[in-house]
Amino acid sequence: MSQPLLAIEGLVKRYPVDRGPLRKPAALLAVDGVSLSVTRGETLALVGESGSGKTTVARCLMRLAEPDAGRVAFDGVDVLALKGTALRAFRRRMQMVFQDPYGSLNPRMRVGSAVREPLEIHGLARGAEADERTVALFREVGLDPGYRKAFPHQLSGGQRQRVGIARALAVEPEFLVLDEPVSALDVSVQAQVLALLRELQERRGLTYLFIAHDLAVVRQMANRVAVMYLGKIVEEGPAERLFAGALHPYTWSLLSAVPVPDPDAQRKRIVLEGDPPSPVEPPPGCPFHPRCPHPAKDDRCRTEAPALREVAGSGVAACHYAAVVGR
Amino acid sequence: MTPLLEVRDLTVTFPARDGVALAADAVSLAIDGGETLAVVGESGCGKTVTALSLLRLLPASARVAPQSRILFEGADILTLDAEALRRVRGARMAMVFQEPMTSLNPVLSVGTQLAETVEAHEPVNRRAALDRAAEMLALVGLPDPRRVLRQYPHELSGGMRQRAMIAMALICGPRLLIADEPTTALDVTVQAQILELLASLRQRLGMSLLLITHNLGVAAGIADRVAVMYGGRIVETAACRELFAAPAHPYTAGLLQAAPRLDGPARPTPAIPGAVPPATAWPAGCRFHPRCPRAWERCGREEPPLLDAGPARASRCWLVADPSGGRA
Repeated sequence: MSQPLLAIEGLVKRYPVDRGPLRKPAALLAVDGVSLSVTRGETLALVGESGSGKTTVARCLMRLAEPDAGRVAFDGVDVLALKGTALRAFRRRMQMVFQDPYGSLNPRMRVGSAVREPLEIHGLARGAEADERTVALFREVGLDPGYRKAFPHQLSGGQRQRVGIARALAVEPEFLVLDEPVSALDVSVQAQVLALLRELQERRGLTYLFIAHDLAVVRQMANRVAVMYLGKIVEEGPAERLFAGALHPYTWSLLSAVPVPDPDAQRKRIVLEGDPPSPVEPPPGCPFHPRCPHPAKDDRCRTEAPALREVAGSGVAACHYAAVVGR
Repeated sequence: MTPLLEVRDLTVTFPARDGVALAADAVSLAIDGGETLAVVGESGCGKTVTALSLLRLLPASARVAPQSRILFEGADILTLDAEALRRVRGARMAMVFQEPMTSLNPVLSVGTQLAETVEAHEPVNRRAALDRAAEMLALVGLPDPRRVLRQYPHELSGGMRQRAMIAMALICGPRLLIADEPTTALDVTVQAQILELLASLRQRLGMSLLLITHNLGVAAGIADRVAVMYGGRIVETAACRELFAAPAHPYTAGLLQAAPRLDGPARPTPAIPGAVPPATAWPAGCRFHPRCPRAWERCGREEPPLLDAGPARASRCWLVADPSGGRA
């Protein structure tokens, strides 16, 4: 296999948590030793529930948050050491699309200017040429260029997300971090945006890190899937294998919890007990053990944290008793 | 048998900058005792406006057209005086919202809020009300209910808050629970717990459930009957199994095809082209026709009524009257 375009190793990010005037601040371990690699042209999905740390991983990659430890290499370059013009040049190559374009677009800026702005900031085009490229970008994401004069609130959710994508594409990146790009959209529109993302990947040879909580969406997009729980990767492997049979009991539970639009689907439902525990005080041993439905769960799970290990040549899982289990 | 709740011709408008938004347009539906009805639709279809109307919780700017009727236990909710309405709300008909943090009072303990609900409807003292509250919290599956009584909403997780909210809604034994996107703000593993809880409580307490959701999978797992809304209109109603087995309305079919799913082959799902038009400017004719793959000339000219499409089934689509799609 060729060298990965993006390689993350042992990423750690802590946030201080103020627990009131009488208690010492605690450390929330949002990302706890995450390693991932993404090959050029593929889509790696990073999935997990709220608080699992998936968005913090993305923020560290983009240098929107500074990790406490770990390495991030993009095309062989140490991203965490970049400064000034080198950092700016890196940001041209890796762009991010956010969940809610309403929150990431300036409400007082016409959407045409929002797409044009990065061209000027990065000195890629100005004047009539910038206008032309803005028109072309609108067309590429399936928006009538007439909408350039509109403000974000005048567009529908799907149109706003297309603007968010056009803005990210303006600087001709190779890599897109897509953070829940369709979660805020209605189902009928979701499918349009997913189709656009697939088409752009094909046409421009883009590489995606696709962050999502909706496994049914991930199944349509990903080549590989990494599952996070409480700041750690608990399973990673090829999408096809993972959706046919997951290794980690957390992944089984996630898959079985997704509602299926078929009243007759009598599936073996695993309804997990309890909520995801607080990352401020993660449970000892395997962080998943208090909720784990694995029949082999024992004292070892309560005391010894499992390492990520290769299982039956089909991926890695952090479970003492991992085995391929079909649904 | 008369249904527990019958909504007839509910029409709700809002003043808007560019005219009048027709949010719900002649919506009619009925729920029997013990039944679960899911109202399904995308944002802007009118499902939340319909739900809020049932307890007269619409914002002050909303206008309910005079011909609208909401018949519940023999009375029209829309004509009740303030005191009669107060006696229905929370006691006979209760509601659970998407985000429990905004509907729970942040400065009152969970116990105080539950006890006040009981006290508002029944002549009980605080101690008895708190006992009832503890029982309810146990019933909705919260461990250590006495401790939860003393806690404040921010001390609970999202799933626990939604359970506390459900306990509060059910503490006076309502006959109808309205749940507006009760699991949308929750993680998928917690969503599964709450749906299971709602289904088991409905059965144990023998109440009816009106579930408002955008998620077809959620509706499929819990509903006896489903009503699909689009453009302020009910466009299809059917028994749950029949609706999912063979949707009659092209919008229902499109929504089902567009929903990504874990069962079946992994392939891209087809989108419905276009977007929902604004409620101030519904298209003439069938409101779905500009996005409909089956539309023909009649669809743009004339809006279809809800047509009988089999026993206890209706579809607002000319295809029911002319299955050839205008080619006959």
